[in-house]
Amino acid sequence: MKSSFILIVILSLLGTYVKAQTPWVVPDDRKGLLAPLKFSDETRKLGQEVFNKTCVSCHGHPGQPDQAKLVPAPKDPASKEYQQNLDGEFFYKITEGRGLMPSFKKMLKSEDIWNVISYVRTFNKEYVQKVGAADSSSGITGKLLSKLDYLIKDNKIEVKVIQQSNKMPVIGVKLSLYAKRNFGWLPLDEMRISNASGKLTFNYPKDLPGDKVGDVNIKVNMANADGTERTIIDTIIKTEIKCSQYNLLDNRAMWNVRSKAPIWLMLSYCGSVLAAWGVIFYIIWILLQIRNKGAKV
Amino acid sequence: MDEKTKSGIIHDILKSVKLNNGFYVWMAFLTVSLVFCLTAYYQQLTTGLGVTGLRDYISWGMYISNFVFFVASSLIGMLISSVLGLTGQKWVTPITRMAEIIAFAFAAVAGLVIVSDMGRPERLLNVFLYGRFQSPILWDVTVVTTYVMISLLLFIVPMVPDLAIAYNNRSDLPKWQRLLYKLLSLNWIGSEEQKALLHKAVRILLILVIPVALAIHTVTSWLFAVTPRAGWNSTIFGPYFVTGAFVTGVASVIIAMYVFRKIYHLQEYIKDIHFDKIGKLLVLVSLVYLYFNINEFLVPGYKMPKHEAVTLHSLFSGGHAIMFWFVQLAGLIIPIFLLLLKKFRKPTPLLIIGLFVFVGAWLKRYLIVIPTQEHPFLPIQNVPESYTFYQPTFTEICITLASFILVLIIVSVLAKVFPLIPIQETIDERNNKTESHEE
Repeated sequence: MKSSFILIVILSLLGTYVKAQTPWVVPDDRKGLLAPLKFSDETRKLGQEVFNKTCVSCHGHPGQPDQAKLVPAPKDPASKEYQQNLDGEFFYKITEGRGLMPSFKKMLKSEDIWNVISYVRTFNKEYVQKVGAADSSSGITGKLLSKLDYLIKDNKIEVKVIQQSNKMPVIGVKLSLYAKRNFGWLPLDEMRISNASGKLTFNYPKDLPGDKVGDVNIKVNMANADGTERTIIDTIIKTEIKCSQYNLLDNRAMWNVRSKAPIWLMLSYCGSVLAAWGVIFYIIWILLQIRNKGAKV
Repeated sequence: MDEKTKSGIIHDILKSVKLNNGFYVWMAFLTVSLVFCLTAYYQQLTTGLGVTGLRDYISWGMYISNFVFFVASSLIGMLISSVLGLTGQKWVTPITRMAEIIAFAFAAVAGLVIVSDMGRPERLLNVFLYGRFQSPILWDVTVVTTYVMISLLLFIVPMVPDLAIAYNNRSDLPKWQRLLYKLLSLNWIGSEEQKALLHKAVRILLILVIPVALAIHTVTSWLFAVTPRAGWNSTIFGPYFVTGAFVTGVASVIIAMYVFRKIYHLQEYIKDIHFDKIGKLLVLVSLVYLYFNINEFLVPGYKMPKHEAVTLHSLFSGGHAIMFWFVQLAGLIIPIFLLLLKKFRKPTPLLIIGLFVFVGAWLKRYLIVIPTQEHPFLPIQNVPESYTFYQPTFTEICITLASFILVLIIVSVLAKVFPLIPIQETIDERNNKTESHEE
């Protein structure tokens, strides 16, 4: 009783907090960000695909009143209030998120977000795009320095960041390390910054299981200036922790396919059907006998 | 018993088998109505299930509740012929065949009702080709088919001596009808050997039909009860459905008894005592069903588990409340009280009560199937308003009516073409009675 009372108090406080939410101010240095690409039918099409997969469940279909009933209400992309945002403001809000609006910087690539913006701008007839400068970081690439034995021994992953064109080390680049799991990418260590020789070291957890042969798919992402991330290394490393996953569909079970039905069930089903129809055919046989007996007379 | 009474019985019962103008008019009416309703099915077949009120969340609507109702009604054959017959209840003799006809008609059409719920009925065969042993759908299809077969046999086999009598006594009938009698009477001459064989066959059938009938409705209940959903997640769904089926079935038989007694002038065979007895039977099965209803609603209603509360409230006091209380009161509780009084067990009052019970039973299936789906555990969101509730469309209602018309056609034809009251049994019973009187 008491706990539910407290819960109600918290929920109602939360409600007033949400209602009294301050306007979403985007930092000045992010406001002016422009798309590094020219919006085209191509970007709008790709953007629509991302929008339908990622945004539509809350924001609804632009121009239709089918937004999710949340507080604060998700805005209709076709509305004037929504379209007032600058491209940079959109980009900031989508990447960072606030409250119920999730942050997409780890889920979507920078291009995807720009494509979505290019798509929602089709609902604003007055919109004219200003194209920004091309992304200067695109030439940067990374190299895994650690070898297998090194990795296993010390649980470290060393990365070197270089400029692709001249192979010179790049200083001050922010990198993050991820490992692929069943349902997405798991962040492994905190963000690291490359040093004077372009190198940095991640701690690799010693108890992270690999697949059946111990392989782990890892990736290293570089933080872009716009808040998104770009993958510069995506590779398989070998570890000694092998994971033999037990598949629930391997054995006979009620939830499995027909060929994996429980034996007792198949016997019961087939047995009952055979018994019932066996008796039915026996009855038919008796009827034939009655018929024969009458014909003899 | 003297020869005159025997021939009198034969004459009385066989009076109705000749097709007359009244029958033709009735059949023409039914056929025209059926054709009209089938145009609705044509529309559904060509356009798809979008013409119905069925949507993503409420995907089982009137068709499935109607299916449950039909399966329920078909159980009556088992109760009357088998349970009461085997326990030596002599009063059921004149209504056993009627009960079997009702059982066969409802069971046979129940299968078609399922097909009407399919958007792609031409894929029905896949149920058998790829059906999983684990799926209650496969069990249901199997057991319905088996039950239809047994009901048909239970209709025909005990009728064999009567068909021989009909063949021998009605030489004025059209050729096809006499041929039908000749074929189905299996060269019956009434020898001791034949009698023994027939007795054995009927006995076996009467015993076999009990587990199969229990299975048919228990499996139907499992279609719901094996899913953990509010209102369906119940361990007593099997007996709850079976006892409910008896209520429906008895009401159907009461209606049939009244109608056939009237149009075939069978007052001498279906007497007030039969109405009195079946009225008492209705009280009995209704009380058992009421007991299960109390269990089914009082226990969850007492606990009001958080996630099931919405469904229960919608029944007790929400959108479905009027229907729910009508079903419980007019379809169950008031009939029980009225039928305890002898004067309400007379034919006409009993017919009216039977009609209420029948309608209540149909609505009851609607209440079992639909409210649960309107309140899934995960909230319904981001769908058009029309997806959040269920409203049957005109097309759907027409197709459902078509299934009832089909049942009426089958019942009318079988009850017309074949002797409706068992002749041989009636004669035997009256013989026994006279003999015991003479002793």
